[in-house]
Amino acid sequence: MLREWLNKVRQLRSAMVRRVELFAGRLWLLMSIRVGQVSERAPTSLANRILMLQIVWAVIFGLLVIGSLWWGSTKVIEGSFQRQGEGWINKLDELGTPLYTSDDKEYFTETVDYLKNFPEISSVQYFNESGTTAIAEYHRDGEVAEPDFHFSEQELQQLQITTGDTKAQLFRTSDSASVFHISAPIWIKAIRSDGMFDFSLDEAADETVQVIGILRVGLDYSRYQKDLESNVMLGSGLIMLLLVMAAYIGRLLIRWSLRPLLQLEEPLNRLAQGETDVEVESSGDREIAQIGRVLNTTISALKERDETLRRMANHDSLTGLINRNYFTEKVELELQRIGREGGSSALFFLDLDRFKFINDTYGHAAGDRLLVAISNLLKQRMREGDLVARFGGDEFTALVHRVDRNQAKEIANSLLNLMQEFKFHEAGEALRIFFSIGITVFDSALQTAHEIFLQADTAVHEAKGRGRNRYHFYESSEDTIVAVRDHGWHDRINKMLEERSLLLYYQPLMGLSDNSEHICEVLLRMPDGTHEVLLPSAFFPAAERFGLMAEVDRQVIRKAVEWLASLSEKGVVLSINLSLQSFEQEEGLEQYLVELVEEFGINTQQLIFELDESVAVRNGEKIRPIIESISAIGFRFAIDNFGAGYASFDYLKHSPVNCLNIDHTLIEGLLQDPLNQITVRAIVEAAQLLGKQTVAKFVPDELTLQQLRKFGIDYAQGNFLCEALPTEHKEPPKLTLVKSLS
Amino acid sequence: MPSRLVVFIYVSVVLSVLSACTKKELKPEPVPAPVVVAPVIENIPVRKEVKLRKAPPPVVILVSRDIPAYQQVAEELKRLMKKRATIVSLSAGIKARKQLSALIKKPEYQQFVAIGLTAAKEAKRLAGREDEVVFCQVFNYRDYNLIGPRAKGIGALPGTSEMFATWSRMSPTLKSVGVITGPGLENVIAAAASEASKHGIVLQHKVVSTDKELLFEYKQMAPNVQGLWLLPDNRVLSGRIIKEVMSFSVRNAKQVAVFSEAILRLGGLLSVTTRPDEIAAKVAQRLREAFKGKGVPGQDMVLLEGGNIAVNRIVAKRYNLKYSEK
Repeated sequence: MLREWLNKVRQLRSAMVRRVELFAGRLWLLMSIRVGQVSERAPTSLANRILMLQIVWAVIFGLLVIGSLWWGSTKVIEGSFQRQGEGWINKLDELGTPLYTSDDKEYFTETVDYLKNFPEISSVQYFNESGTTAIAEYHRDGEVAEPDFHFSEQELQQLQITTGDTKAQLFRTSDSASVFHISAPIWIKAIRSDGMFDFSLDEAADETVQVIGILRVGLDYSRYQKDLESNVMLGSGLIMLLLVMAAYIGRLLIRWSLRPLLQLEEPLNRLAQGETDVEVESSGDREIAQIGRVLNTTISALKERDETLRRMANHDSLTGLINRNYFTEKVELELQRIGREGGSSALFFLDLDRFKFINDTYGHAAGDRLLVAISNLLKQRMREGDLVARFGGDEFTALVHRVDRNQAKEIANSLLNLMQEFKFHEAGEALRIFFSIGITVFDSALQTAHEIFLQADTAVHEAKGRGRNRYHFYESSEDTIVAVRDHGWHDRINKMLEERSLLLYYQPLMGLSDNSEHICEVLLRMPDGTHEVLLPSAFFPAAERFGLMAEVDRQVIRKAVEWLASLSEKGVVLSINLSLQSFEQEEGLEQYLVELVEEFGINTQQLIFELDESVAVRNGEKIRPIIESISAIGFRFAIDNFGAGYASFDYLKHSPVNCLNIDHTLIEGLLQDPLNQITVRAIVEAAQLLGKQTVAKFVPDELTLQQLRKFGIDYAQGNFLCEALPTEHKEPPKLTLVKSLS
Repeated sequence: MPSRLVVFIYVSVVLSVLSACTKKELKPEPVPAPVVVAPVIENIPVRKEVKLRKAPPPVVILVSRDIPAYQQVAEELKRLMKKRATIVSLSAGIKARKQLSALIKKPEYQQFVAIGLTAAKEAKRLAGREDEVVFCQVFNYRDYNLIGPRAKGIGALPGTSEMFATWSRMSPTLKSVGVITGPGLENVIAAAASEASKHGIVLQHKVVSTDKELLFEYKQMAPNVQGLWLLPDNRVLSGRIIKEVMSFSVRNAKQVAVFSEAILRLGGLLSVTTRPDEIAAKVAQRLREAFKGKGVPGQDMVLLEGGNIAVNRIVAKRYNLKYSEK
């Protein structure tokens, strides 16, 4: 029994210990969180700050009041007791008269009995006129006479003074601080001998004064002091209570006063989260209304800017149609809608059949005008609510909502009929333009936008393959080799990017002048899974179609910079090709390059970016500010394939590039075609006049090289001079070899 | 035997009372401390031979200060004596001394009247040189040893008969009055007590030595008296004590007869003051008596019999006392 009881006690004790430990742990955790919260230093509230200021002032004021109350009360008590003491002096002066006029000491007994009624009187002493002997004294019960008390000489001198209307009164505070003594002489007065005949109450009588004794009274105000302390404590408590109440009311008042300001918090938070559909209250107090108006103006400006940016980001600058990214979003939204509501929609992929011919024959400007005209045509034809986009180059897409296959067929026919009637007038000629249309009708939300595009793309390829100027519906059974091939490219490119398996080759440029730099062009290759590599022409179209070129470019740049940083030879310059998509990325190219340079510690002058002439010319307005911005921090740009027919010399005057890579068609037939010679020489002279360098690519032989040198070309490049080499070569191809060839 | 015993006891008591009275009368009066008075005139001129007087001589009236109580007496004397009187006010300083010195040198100036203590003390010196001096308006003359064969005085206190008569008429229930003085005024008090008893009033007298003691004694005495007769004894009076006595009296409904009309407003019931004409008449009388013989005959002091009585009607009304002008 006892053992069981002991076991229960032990269990109970253990449980209590565990609970206490658990509670302590939680308490510690709570304190840690609190401390952590405090240490984070969250922004303080304006209302709290004002309230804190108010409380600080209130506390200071309260302390001053309490201090003043204490000090003032003490002084009042002291002053009151002094006055009371003076009254007692007068009273006791009179009561003590018999002590100096007779030997009857019994009378003093009555005085003592009288004094016992006043506990604040601690002692009364009557001294003789010289102040040396006490002829009678009274001490309160429990009090003892001060041993060896005597007046000082100075005190006696003061007490013996008989001039003036008032007696000297000496105050002396005892060590206990709540008892003080008053000493005063006992005077007798007599009017002068013949003064009674002109006695007047209004005039001070001429009197003789004589000191017959000294009276010393001790007054104890400790009881009053204690009462004062308790009262002051009570008063202090009340004051503190009032302060707390004032602080609480002050908090309510401040909250009330700042409520219009606090109401701004919610719209501002929404604004901070990127929401611009915010309306700030601009009525009420003048100051708050002013803030509200300013915020509303700011929000309106933000909205306009957002709208402009959104338009720029989502629309094609040439045609004003929405671009591929935005169109993709819309397709995804449509898929979601179909998932919710059901039905079907169609995606049209339109490819201009003779666009390259127009471009090559009538020039880039004519091509642009054609694109704009086609865009307007499509916008007019499509229903309200349908979307038309420029997908890239001469490719357009259209999203037609809520149509089935038959309705889509009607639209396709109408488009083809429209184009039958359309004539593009250029250079005095009326050109007929036709579409190849790929159509896919989708009714499942399980598909992705990418799959929809693939289907439409497959269909348009099929339409082209069947003779152009026609439409073709995608059929699931028509998962042809094309689709598989394209889809395969997409996956392969993505895999290559994920695995960072791009292959970089380097081909040096031969400097034809004495101050030439050591420049190598970076050439991209793709492993084909065997031991061969694929040229860019094999996978760039797919990469461009699937919007992967920007990522390809960035990976190329990064790998090139890594290799550049690993070189022992400093001063090597790499020339890297960039696609248009690199300039269209939301994440800025400039920022990417800056971070890369900082990461690897190379000089910005060591990188030259080549941009195809057609891209540079067609998208000049869009990419010019980006090129200028990147050039400003030291990177250089070159126009690749210059002279292919897109650019003009006027373009050169305003182009921010540093170098012109002359198109290979002009170089390869240089010796045979005098027109090429004139063109190349003109390009070189114009470049020299504008301070730009020139590069001749695909130099086929020694004679051409010599001719180029005569023209003043700065650099030459070609397999004749040096073949491209993989990066497994840890050092770039040596210039000595190149120069020896010259 | 019992009758003899009764006679014996009666005789013994009478003898005891007489013995006590005799002792009291024989009790030596307090000897005033010698007072050294600085001579107003440094060198007293030697008088020429005195001739037999056939007509009343000219009189020099010395006035201590220029206050109404003195000046009124001096003016009254001058009115009585006409051209015989020459007033010299000692308040004039050097001029007065020169004037007095010139007069002293003249043999016909043999009688002097001193008004006030300062003049009396100065006149006392003259009286030592065969001149006759009558002083007035001096309290406590014994303290200064002013009395001599050729120097006598006129009392400074008004007569009490009229005072007690008036007081008794106003306050018929008044039976006991206290009076507190300094020492040496027993004869005055005795005369006053006699007058008071005529009106059924018992005078309780206390002798004190200081102003404080006066106040103290008055408060002790107060339960036993209905009123207080405040005598103008400067030795035991001070301004503060007078006010306190009056204040105490008002608070305790004590009727007070005071010596100055000024004190009436502190709550005094009636004031009794001397009449200048009576003083002047008695002075003139004593000078005439002196002219008839050598020195100034008669008592040392001739007490005044009359006086001016003023009543504080407000206090009288408060005490429900009836007062009619008589």
